[in-house]
Amino acid sequence: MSRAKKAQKRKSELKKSTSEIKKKPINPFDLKYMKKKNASEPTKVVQGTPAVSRKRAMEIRKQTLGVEYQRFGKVNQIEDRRIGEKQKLSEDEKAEKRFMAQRQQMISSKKSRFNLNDDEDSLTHLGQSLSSVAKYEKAVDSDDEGGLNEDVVALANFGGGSMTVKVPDDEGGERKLSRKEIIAEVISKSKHAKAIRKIARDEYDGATDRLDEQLKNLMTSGILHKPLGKSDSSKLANNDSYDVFFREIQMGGDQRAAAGTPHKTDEQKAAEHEKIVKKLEDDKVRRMDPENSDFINHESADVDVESVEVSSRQKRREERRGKDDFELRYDQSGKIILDERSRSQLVASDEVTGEPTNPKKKFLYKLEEFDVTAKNPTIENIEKIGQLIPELFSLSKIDTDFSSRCMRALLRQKWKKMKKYKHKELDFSIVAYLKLAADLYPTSDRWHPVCTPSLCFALEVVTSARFKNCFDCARVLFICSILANWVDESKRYLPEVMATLQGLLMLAVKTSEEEIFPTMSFPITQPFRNMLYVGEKLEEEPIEPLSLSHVFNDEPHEETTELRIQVLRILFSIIQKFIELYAGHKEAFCAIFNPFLKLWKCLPIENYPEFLFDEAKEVQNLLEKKIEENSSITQLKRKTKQNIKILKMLEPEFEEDFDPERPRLRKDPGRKGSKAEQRKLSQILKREKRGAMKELRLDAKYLARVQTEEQQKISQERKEKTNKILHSLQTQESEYKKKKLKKF
Amino acid sequence: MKLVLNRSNKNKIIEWQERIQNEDSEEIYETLKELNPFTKDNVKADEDSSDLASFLEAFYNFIVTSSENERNVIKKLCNHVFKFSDLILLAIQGLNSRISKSLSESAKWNLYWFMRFIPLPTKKLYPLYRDDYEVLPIGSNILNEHVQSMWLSFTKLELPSKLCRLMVPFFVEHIIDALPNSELFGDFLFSVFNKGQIYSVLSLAGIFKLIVHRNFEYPEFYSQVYHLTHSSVCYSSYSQKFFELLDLFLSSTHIPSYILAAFVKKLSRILLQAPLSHQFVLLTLIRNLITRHNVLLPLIHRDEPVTFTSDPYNEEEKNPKNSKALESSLWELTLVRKHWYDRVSKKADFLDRQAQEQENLLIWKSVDELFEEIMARKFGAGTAESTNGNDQESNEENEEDEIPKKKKKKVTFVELRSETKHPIKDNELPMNYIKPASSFLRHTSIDYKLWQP
Repeated sequence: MSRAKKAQKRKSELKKSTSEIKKKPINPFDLKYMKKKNASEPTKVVQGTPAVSRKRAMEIRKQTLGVEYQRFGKVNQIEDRRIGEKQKLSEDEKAEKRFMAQRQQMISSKKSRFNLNDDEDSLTHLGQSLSSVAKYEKAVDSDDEGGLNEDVVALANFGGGSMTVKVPDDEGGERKLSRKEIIAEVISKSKHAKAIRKIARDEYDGATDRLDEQLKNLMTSGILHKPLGKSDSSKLANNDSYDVFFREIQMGGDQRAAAGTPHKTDEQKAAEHEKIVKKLEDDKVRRMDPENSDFINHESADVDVESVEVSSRQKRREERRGKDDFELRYDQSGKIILDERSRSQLVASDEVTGEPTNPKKKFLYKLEEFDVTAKNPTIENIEKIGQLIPELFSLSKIDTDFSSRCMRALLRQKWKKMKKYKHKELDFSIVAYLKLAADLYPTSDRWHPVCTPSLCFALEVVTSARFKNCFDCARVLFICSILANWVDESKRYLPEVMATLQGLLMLAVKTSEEEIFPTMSFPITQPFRNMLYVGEKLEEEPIEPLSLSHVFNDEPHEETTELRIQVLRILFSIIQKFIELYAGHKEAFCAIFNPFLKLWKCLPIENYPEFLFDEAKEVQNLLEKKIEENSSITQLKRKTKQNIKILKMLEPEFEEDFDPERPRLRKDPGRKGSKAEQRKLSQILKREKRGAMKELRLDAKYLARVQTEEQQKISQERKEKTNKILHSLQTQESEYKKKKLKKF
Repeated sequence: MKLVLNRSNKNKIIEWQERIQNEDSEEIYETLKELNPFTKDNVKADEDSSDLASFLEAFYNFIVTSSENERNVIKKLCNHVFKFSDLILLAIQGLNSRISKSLSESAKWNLYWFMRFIPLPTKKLYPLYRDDYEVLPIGSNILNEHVQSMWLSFTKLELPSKLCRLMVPFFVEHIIDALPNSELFGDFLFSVFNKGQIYSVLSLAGIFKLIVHRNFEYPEFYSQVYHLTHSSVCYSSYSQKFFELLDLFLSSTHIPSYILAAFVKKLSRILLQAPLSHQFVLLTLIRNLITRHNVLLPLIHRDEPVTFTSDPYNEEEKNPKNSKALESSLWELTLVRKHWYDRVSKKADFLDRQAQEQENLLIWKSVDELFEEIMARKFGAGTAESTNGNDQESNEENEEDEIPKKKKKKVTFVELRSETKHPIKDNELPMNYIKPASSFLRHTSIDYKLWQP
């Protein structure tokens, strides 16, 4: 591409220069004609001069590409800066020009600007001024100064005849020294001076050497080292004390007064508490909402329902507070003492067993204790578990993240265990864990890192349980009751629980063999198939609540009708609870509970003791009522897009800026707008590209031609030279032979 | 096809029996390899053939008279000895004559194990011995015919239910396709099917194969399958198989719309009682059916049955023709949106959307996988760092849904920064704010009346 560009540039540069060629009269044989189809115009139209333009292009190439090729690989260029060499001038004229240039340079140069004696021309010898040459000569002699007297030197050099120095004689008389003597004396004197100077220099050198040596010794001996640390620390100490002092002055030391919290009245506190609780409650509802983000929209969309819900929620909240109060009162009635005692016991155990004080470790420790205790559900242990729950609650508050991770780890462990011993009897620790999870975390959340997996786990426990006897039923029912509380607020649908409850209800009814249980966990064979069926009328007996420790004990139990009644009672209450819970799901309430109602009608109520009879009747009435209330079905409605086609109008259309040259310009959207522009540009680009490619091709052709020419030239030359050499050799040879012939 | 083997030797039989009992099948193989019962060398062949005959006799006795379930012994034997076509042929011939109604239960088991562990009929087998006189018939077809006759006589026996449950899936999956006359097993499969429950499901695939490949006519096939479709299937171990088959059965475009409607309606009823692992699958199945058969589209867009009592659908009707499902709608599915697992409720959103054009794969996830999925979700301090990770997760979720319409929005640097400025508010792990009371059973809840520690 760059080459193509260059070619373009070249072309434009040389257009001007070649315009002269263009102006020449064109040979008519060079013209190219084009035939026109339209007869009204002249048949032949000149289109161009291909030969001329080809030639011109070749010339341009020679001037540009050819030159470039010649210079190819040659980095430096020789610039001829000699003055006047290019023109044809005589030697004098050349010299004049050079002189002029020199003068001009001198004047224009900065140095000479302030030169006062620029009028004078210093004489030069070999390009240097003569004065500097003189100086240099003087400098050469200056080596041996001092040794000779001035007059002696003057005498010796420029003696000029009489050199009379009188020297006292040995015998007391004076005698004239001869010139030879004088010179010898001069020489000896100067030698002596030199020797003295040399000794002095040597002495000086020796002294410095010695000193250097001594210094070196001192350095290595370490005497010179400064005790740096000491001095620094003292400095620092100074600094420190100063800083402290400064700070004391400026800020009044470390005694800073914290802003006192204004003392709050009880009412304010209560109001604040209320506010916090309300916020928390709102947060909870928001998390429960499936469309988390448009919580507000939801409110506006369905104000009535929402307000009702809010009020009911407030009521619930009040109830809950009431419950707390109630419990407090209950505590006052006697339990509080036990609490105190247990606490003191715990403290004691802290000291004795070395219970970890770190809240994290403590939580883990307590959780383990909780789990271990739950594995053996005696009455005392259940009590103990109950007490551990609030403790764990307050401990987990310290580091929620850590505690939830612990809970999840425990859950994972339980999951693995359950998968390993499938269909094993339900462990109480599972129940306890679920209870704990529900107590610690909000179960109503749409998703919660502890609650959701726990729920998954619980449901898996429910579905994988096998109902071999009434105790199995009771165990699963207890989990179901926990789960009922679990979805108390969110009212989420639990299909697994509903299927199990329906199956359990089927156990209480005499069903035909053909009827299939909703899950696989129920026995099909006869004596167990109706394990909750109450066959004969029972005596009126006060029925105790079912004991957890009894139910979750591993020991084999005896199944009594009383147990059946207890289990049935629990089943009814749980079903009732779910009826109330899911009454909100108007759209499909009947689909869930219609099978229940059918089964309910088959229950042998007449055989039940009176209280159970009443309860069963009550639930049945409730069920019937709710089914009637919620019998309306919410139909599915799919959003459908409707594409309405507009009819074509037959009215004439007017174009205001109609262009007869381009009649379709407006109608055809392809001819207008940015796209059309783009297309045009792309066409131009294509054309240009083609031109550039052609140009490049021709360039390459030209280069190849030049290269072959060069090559041919070289080979031609070589051929000539070899011919020449051969020729000369032949002549030599012939001469030699001639000589030989001549000899003999 | 007459086998000429010398008479067996009583002493040798006892010897062989001991060896079989001792489970040294490799050594048995080594000894059997040395024999040459069918060669021209008369003297040696005589002795060897009597040896082989006594081994086979010992084996028959072992199978038939053994009072225990000898699975491991038989497996070893089949791995080492009965992997050659001639030996299998001989064994089958011998055993075939011994199959009778008076066999004990353990003998039946042993027979089954033998048939289970010999190489599948589709496998190419080689004989162990050189057969100079062509005593034994050659060719895999003949062997397969023998296998077939053995299976035939075996299936005519009265089989223990556990054996039946093991055998039928194996037979249907591996054997029936390879047999030359699989139609002969129609009676057997139908009798198993009529046993109901799990047996029906197990034999379903076989019956379907007969219908498709052997042109069987089974009137009321769909109504039988319809009857089988029940929520309890979801809780069984063979549920995956069943629903895959159901998907297969309903893939034909020639099924009348009333049958399809009945199935879809039934499936949506099942959904109300299905465990978590089946929620996704059933939803996908329903969705696929609606996509596949446009006649079902009215079922998810209707005004008509306004109340439950006016819903014409009859759940208890066994014949899909009379269930009137086509006049009803899938209103039950609205409840799925209230499912406790948020992804299930999200999945049910397809009901509101435009009908998709492509079907989705049925992705089976076990409860374990789902549990891991739930556990793997980021929370707490992890969420702030890996909001992108969550995005990915949701994208994955979308993958099994149709092709995501919107492309992933490009997040500019500025947006990213602004996001980091406002950390997600729900970062902190939510906890209850009311301290629980210190007792396991709450006094206010109804539990207290019913339970005691």
